[in-house]
Amino acid sequence: MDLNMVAEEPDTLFSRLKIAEKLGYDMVAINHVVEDMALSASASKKEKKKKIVIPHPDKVKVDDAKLRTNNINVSGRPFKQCSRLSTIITDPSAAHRLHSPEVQQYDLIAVQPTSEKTFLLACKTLNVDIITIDVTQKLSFQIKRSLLNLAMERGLFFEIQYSPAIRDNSLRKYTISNAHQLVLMCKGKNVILTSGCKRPIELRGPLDVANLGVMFGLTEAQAKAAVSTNCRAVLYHAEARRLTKSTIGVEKISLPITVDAANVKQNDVSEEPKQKKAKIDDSCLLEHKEAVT
Amino acid sequence: MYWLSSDNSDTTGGDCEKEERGMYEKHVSKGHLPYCYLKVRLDFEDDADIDIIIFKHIVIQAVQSLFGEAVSCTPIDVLKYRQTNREAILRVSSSYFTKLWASLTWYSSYNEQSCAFRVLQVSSHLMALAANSRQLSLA
Repeated sequence: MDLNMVAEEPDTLFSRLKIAEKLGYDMVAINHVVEDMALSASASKKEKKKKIVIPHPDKVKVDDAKLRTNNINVSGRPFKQCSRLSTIITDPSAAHRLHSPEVQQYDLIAVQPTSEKTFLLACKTLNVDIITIDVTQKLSFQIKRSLLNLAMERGLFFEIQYSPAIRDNSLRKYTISNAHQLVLMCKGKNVILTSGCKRPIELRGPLDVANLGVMFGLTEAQAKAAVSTNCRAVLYHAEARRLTKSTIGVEKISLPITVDAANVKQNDVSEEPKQKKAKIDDSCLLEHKEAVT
Repeated sequence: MYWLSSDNSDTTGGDCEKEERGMYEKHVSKGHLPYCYLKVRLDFEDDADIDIIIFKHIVIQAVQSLFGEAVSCTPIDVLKYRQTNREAILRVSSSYFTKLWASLTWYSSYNEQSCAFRVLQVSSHLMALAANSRQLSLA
């Protein structure tokens, strides 16, 4: 899985998706970057408009991709996309913007703290899934183990991007040293490796990336988890985040595929926190009954 | 006793000694095999003509830019190279395998043309590169 495919330059996006599929990814998050939340909140309406770009236009791409012949992987699983919004938080007071519904409707939310204060905020309170560590420059704050533990307990993940270093050789130094530092601090847990690529040639295969993880000081198992299981954990965390405000999640199930759809739904849901699970299962069953009658 | 002495010398010398003497098995592992083999393809954004000497030069350059002189002097062999699609089989001693792979991953441009190494297959047996189980299709 690759959880960071920058949504800019839409003309290359499709070719990037195609390459990603070829390289063996089965899930890609398309990243919409908002430079600064504070800016979009206070100043112009234009900026605000920019922020509220809905993920669905990106999702239209799926059908297009499906039509192409090479859609079906060797493993037979279809290629999936999800939406992601990431932002840089420089000012703690603007961080509450992240809780607005238009932001929360994204599948994944990532923040990139720039100072100790915002890093603390992100680890402690913010309702997000991913904390991006900008590895391309010298870190302006110190990563403390106590904060990391706090974030890990909340199920947040730390992201290391590798594409900037591929794009520019001079950024490699910082990438490697910062990644090393992060991995040392969190003992290799809760790390995900993502691309953040802007061109198809900058993308690397999942196993290549896992091997890079070994170079960053992860063990082989952890490195592999950083491109697979950890990414899945992020997705489940995101789903839990979206459900916390409600007690029951009800989704419409299309009628024609009655039994199968209901079964699949239950399987999907079973990975969520337990207290919710029971209720959601009930609602699924209810719908299932309706469908049968 | 049933002895299976795993022949770790190389893949080509492949006669495994099997003597059936009972119901137990004993596997003897002698650690890593000496070499690792990579099947790689060099992709360019635009088409480029690369012959084997330049290809080898690129590989060495990739290693040198990431790890420097000390690692790039280890023998890295290009066993086979197909110029039409720039596919090659590389051999490296298994202790430098991770380093070679990492430096291939980081490599991004040759003569200001952006390119990328796609690692297709990795194995410690040369024979394993003969077929790719991921490309098999059910007819």
